[in-house]
Order: sequence, then C-alpha cells, then structure tokens
Amino acid sequence: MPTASDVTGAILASIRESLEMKGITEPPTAQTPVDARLGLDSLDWAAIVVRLEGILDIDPFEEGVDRELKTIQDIVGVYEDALRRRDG
Amino acid sequence: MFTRTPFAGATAEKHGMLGEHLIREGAARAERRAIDHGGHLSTYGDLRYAAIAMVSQRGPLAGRRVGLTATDPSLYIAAVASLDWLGAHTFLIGRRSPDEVESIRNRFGLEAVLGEEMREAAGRAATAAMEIPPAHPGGGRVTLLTSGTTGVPKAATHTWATLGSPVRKDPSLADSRWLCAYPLPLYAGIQVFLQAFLNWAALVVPASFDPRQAAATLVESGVTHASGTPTFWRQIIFFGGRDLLRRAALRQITLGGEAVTQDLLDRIRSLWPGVRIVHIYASTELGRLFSVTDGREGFPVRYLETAPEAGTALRILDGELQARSAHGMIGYEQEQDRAQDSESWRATGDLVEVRGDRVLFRGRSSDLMNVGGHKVAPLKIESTLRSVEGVADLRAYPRRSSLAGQIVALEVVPVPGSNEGDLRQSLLNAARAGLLPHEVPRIIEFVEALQPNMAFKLTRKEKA
Repeated sequence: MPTASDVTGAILASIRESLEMKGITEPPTAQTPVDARLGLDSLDWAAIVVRLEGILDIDPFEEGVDRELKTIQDIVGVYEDALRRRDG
Repeated sequence: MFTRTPFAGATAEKHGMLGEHLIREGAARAERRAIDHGGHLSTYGDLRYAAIAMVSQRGPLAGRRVGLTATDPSLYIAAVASLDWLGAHTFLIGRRSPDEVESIRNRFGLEAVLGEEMREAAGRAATAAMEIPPAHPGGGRVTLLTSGTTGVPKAATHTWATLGSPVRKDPSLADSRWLCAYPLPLYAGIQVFLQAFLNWAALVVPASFDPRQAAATLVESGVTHASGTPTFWRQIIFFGGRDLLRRAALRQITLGGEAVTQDLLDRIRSLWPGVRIVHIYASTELGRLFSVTDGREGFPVRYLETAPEAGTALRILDGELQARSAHGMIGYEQEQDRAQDSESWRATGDLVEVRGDRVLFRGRSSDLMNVGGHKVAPLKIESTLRSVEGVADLRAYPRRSSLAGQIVALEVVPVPGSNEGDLRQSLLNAARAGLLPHEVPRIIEFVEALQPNMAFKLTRKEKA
C-alpha cells in the first residue's frame, strides 16, 4: 500500500500537471482550496482522477464520494480511505 | 448461423476469372516479373506453375468452402488462382491466431484451411508433368473478412470479377511496379494486387511496413505506383528519410482506408512535386465508390448529385455518408449481418460535413466520444493539432472517466529533436484556439510511434 506521503505527492503532481497545462505555474499545496479560484474545470478534475488511477490503481469516485471537498487535503483523505478499504 | 447457398439469385461465373487469367493466359507471360517481396522475385511463370501444381494436388477441394491463411505473396496468389480454377469458394483469412482461425472455420463451415504448408505442393511443380487439370465451373466466389476492431469480423462475399471491375486495364501499365502497403487479404490489398495482376505488372510487397524498410523498397524495387493508408504515408514521410524518398521513381501515390487530410496531401506534394495523388474511397462491403485526384481533402459536393462512376450514388443522411455501389459485395455471409442490411442504401459509418463546394470527412461514427454529455469527433481534434510545429503524428482517443464518462486523451509522436515541454504548450495553445473546451485534450502522452491496426489504420480505441 502506498504511504501517506506517496499519495499526497501523487495527487499534488497530478494536479500540478493539469495546472501547468493551463499555464498556471503556482504550485499547489495540501491546504490549497479546490474551488473555481484554482483554475481547473470539471474535465481537468476528471483527467486528474484518470491519471491517479494509472499511478495508484484506484478510483474512489467510481463508487461516488459524498463528503465535501474543500482543500486538496480532503481529496488526499478520500484516496487514503479508499486505499485502506481496499488493502486493509 | 449460415446457409450453404445464401445467394441463390446471384449469377455464378462459368469459370473463375482469376484462375483463367493466370493459368490459361499466363502461359504467354511466363517471363514477366509478378512479385517482388523483400527483394525475392517471382515471375508469372513461377506463379502459374505453382497454381497448376496446387490444382493437381488439391482436386478434392473442387467446389468446397476453403479458408486461406497463407501470407507469402507468391504462395497466396498462386493459391487464390488455383482455388478459383477449382471452383472453390475462397475465404481470405490472412494472418490470425490459431484460435481465431478455428473460430472462423467453424462459423463459416469451412471444409479446409490452407496455410504456408502449400509451399510444398507448389514446390513440387518443378518436377511434375505440367498437364493442366480442367477448370471447374462455379469459381469466382471469394469472401473477405472486415478489419473491424470491434468483436467478430463481418464476412462480405464478392466475386473476383466484381472485385476486379474497378481495375484500369491498360497495356502501358505492364511495366509498372505496384507497392502494396496493405495486407493482401483485405479489400484495399486485393485492389492493388488485381491492379498489378490483371495488367501483368509487378506487385511489390515490402518485407515489413517499417517506414525505413518501406522507403528503401520504394527506391530499390523501382516502384512506380504505391498504395497505402494515410497512416502509412505519414510514417514514411517523417521516418523514411527524405533524401532516400526523393530518389523514388514514383508516378502515382494512392491513399485509401482512412480520411485523407490536407496537411498530408500538401506534404506528399512538396516531397514529390510531379506525382499523381489519388485518394480512393472504398469499403469491404461497397467496394470502390470514387476517387479524388485534385489534391484537396474531402470530395466535390457535385458527387452527391452525380457520382463519378456509373451505378454508384452518394447521399448524406443525418450527417453520415450513405452509398449505393456498382462494385459492391453479393452479400454478407451470415444471417444476422444480412438481416441488418438494407437492399438499396448502405451507411458507410463516415461522418461528413458540407463546406462550400466540398464534402469533408469528420471521422467514423463508431469513433465518437462522449465527454460529459458532448459528442466529440477524434478526427476533428487530430486535424486541428496535426499541423502544430514539431508533431510527426498523433491520435486522439477516449479515456474512460468516472467523473465525465470519457475525456479526450492525445498520443503524440514528436519530430525527432523536439522539446516535449514546448510541444505540449504549442499543442494546448492550438487546441484552445481551434477547439471547444470539451474537445481540448486533458491528457497528453508522447510516444515513439503510433500502433496502427492490422489494416495499417489508426484506431481511436482506448489502450488496453
């Protein structure tokens, strides 16, 4: 099972890739809010999730996520919980 | 689910055209070069001897349903001619896995499948007395399997005579050499083979479709007419070596099997200024519908009023090109395919758009993606981005997404020496300028080469 810092690192790198594709060079942190101010649209988030599935081999959004996602840390939490459920 | 006599109303030929051509008429052309396969040469005499030997030894196959998996060009051609002479119904299977061959054999009730072991029968010709067994009636029937990437291939039955009907016969073509960059058992490969064969010209089959090897073959084999998919031509232009390619003695370049884009026509024109460029529009079921030679993508809108070939008609219904054909198949081999087949107009699966005096291709209907509820055509994305500086080739394809259904992904082959970071940025700038937001690729990957399918066409399927 990937460590917590692996998961955070993969998520930040994937988000950074989508930001760079939009010409946004300011690097995100775990505390960065994930609202419209970040500059990513729904298809960018879809791409981030697809990329993460390639790296972490899991897509927690397939079964739906019903908690509120305010910061990148909240997304990290979704992946960590899903990995814990999968790997025990 | 097949019947033995599905085409009771269709007229069978008295004797097979192909067998007649090689076995009877070929006697007077024995010295002519027929095949150049990776530098290995065969004459029409060699093919004829092999065909007669096979006829002598395969007599029991007369009138039977016979599959053919042999891919060596000389062997393949001798075999199709001999089966035609024997009045067999030939199924062109080509190179497939043993499981696929077995499934095809069962599905179509084939009584024999002939492969590379035919070489032995052909080889015995040299010592055998060359007495020609009589031809059997009812030859000429041949079934092609579609190259479709989804599920079970469809089996379209033609006669060699209808397959050969679009061929231009001209004694001045006897000295031409035809490069075939398609698998021989598929419709496009058969067209190139028949174009050479029925004119007693040479068929050049490269040992592989690798761009450098194919480019070397163009030059070393003195190819005058070369035919391949747009994907083949893109690869050869970018990776075949320009100095080498300029030395080719080409008179005609033919493109078929995929939509032809303006950037490719322009690149071919600049590399070979004097060459005639022909885009052929055809399908396994409909046969050849028309060709375009004016150097522009798409086809003239006037073809919708008056199709250029007698017996052929074109129309657009709900954005898709439909056609009636003079060169079409007799019918599908299987009941369930025939049931969906309307007698008159046939959908081509190609989406088109009228722009001014031109009908332009917008991709295959089966390639449409669904991105967050929007229909997206990969061909539009590819056409918009292919002219970006530093791009050798690319393909757009869907990636399955839990949040959006599908999203657009892009595989890019960079021109050697390009900076990937800069290229990614140029691609995104061009995408945002020329595409709608949901058409902009969200995932971009750089690869060394695109992987065409067995027909050397690009697919827009998600990678396995």
